[in-house]
Amino acid sequence: MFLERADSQETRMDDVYSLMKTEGAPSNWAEDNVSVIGFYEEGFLSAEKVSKFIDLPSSEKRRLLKTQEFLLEARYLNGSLVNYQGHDLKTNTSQIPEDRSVYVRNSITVLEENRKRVKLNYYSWEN
Amino acid sequence: MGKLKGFYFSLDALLAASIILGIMVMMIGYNEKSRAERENVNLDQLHTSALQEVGEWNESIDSSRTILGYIYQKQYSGEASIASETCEDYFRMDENYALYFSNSTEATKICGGLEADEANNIESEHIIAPDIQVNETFTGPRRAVLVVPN
Repeated sequence: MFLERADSQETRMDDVYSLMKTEGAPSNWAEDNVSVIGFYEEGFLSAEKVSKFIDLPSSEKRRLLKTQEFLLEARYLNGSLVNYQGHDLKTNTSQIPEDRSVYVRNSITVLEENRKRVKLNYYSWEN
Repeated sequence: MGKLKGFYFSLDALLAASIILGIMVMMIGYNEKSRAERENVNLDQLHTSALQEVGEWNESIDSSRTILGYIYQKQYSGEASIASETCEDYFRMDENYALYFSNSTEATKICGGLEADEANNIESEHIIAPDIQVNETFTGPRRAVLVVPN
């Protein structure tokens, strides 16, 4: 039963992570009309969209990611955080806990704005 | 009677301990699985190499081909050393990887120190990029394969 619950949570998180790799809905989503989160534009990761997401209210971010606690960040391959118009692309959340299950997904992709390789890291966990 | 009660009591305790132990093992297993999986994101770089233009990645190269297309072109137009250098510069994963161009009958290693037949556990990703042509024809195997240890 425990594993079934864990698997269903993981499937749900996989679905959310897959959606992140789309343009979202609508594709030019904004705070007042976003129904599905997506960070990409024509195959490239959009720093503008990640930045817009970071600026959403916390409750909205939780609704879109279907989770209570999460950390999303974009880093260059040398480890430095991507900065877009003066803002680091990292959600401002608490530390990743050491004592519980944490859903982790990473992918290397290309940033639309400067065509450099970046690593998109996503972590989520339950309270 | 007392002995029988004691036996059942011990059996209950053993059963309860087994259940608790089982749950703990499952929890630890799930933690490790969630944290450890998909460590090898380096395979994604095969896709980034088919997205990025080589001139955007390295301004000293005057070409609008993708990085993968450029490597392919150099490999099959008599400049294999440039293909190998570009490949190594781009993927930079120490020695634990290899890029091949392959089909069902041949596999040509372009760069990387990993021998696919040496490793017991490997992961691979493959792609057929549209611009891996030389003079509008395919002169070598069309499939690019990136191999990393599992």
